[in-house]
Amino acid sequence: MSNKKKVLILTDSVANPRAFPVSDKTELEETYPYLIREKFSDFVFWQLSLGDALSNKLYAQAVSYLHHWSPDIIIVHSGINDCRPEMASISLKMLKKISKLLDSIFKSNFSEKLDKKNFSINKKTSKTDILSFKRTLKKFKLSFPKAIIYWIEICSGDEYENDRPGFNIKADKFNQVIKEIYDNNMIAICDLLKDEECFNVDNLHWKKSAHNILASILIERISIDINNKNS
Amino acid sequence: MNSIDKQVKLLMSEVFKVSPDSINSDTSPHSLEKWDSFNHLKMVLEFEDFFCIKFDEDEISTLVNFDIIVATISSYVE
Repeated sequence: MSNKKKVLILTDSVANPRAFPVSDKTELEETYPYLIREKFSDFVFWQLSLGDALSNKLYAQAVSYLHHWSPDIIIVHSGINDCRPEMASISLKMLKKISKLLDSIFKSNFSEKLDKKNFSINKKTSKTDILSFKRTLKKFKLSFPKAIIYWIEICSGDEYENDRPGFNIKADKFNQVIKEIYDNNMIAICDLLKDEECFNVDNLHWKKSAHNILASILIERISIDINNKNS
Repeated sequence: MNSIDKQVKLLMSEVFKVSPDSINSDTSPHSLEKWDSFNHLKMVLEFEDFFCIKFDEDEISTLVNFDIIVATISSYVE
């Protein structure tokens, strides 16, 4: 059996390469997991980056398939899908029908306004309640007691609050939970992504510059922590 | 060994009808012949009953070895 250090990377879509929009394109070789892998070429990596993944889903994958692999390092980049206020399930088609009905009753022009306006309805609830999220974080720690676990802070572009009203408050609360459970192993990144053009036009996914920043931080942390563990 | 470990061992030993001493970190459906789907559910219900917890639906399928079970229960009660 090899003595190579084993690194497990679990993320939502943020760590994936992206082809669209073309102006914000991020190649695989520009993503932070790839950059870390290049730096630690003598380590063994396993990565799961799943769009729209919730933290408990990533945990389930990790314990079901990789518990016996006993990773030395686990990097988790997840939480934004857990905490962001959900879009309502009511469809635009349904809204148009309702607005037409209202127009016919009140002689109003709701349906016309609806056609012109590009809007969405938000619910205030998150997909994951904060206690379940906290339990998932604890479970990671308890299930992989020998691993160094880094959890990346939840952040988005400034405008994301307009798309999902209430997001900033939710993100703050969920980040407090990450800090409470992982303390210094929460990788604080939000403040570093403010000054640059770091987010895609969707204010959610990352541009090359953001991947570079996180890669640098993680490379430094991993180098220090592995040295400390070995000494 | 903490009290959760001990109690999980006892409950598992009752469900699978084996000695508590034979249950360790490596205990899983692969190492225990009697750990089939029926006994898995029985074990889950025993844990829920004893620890007064209710596992999330998608959590039940992850309870596939002793360490993970202890970690999951600890995340509820500690």
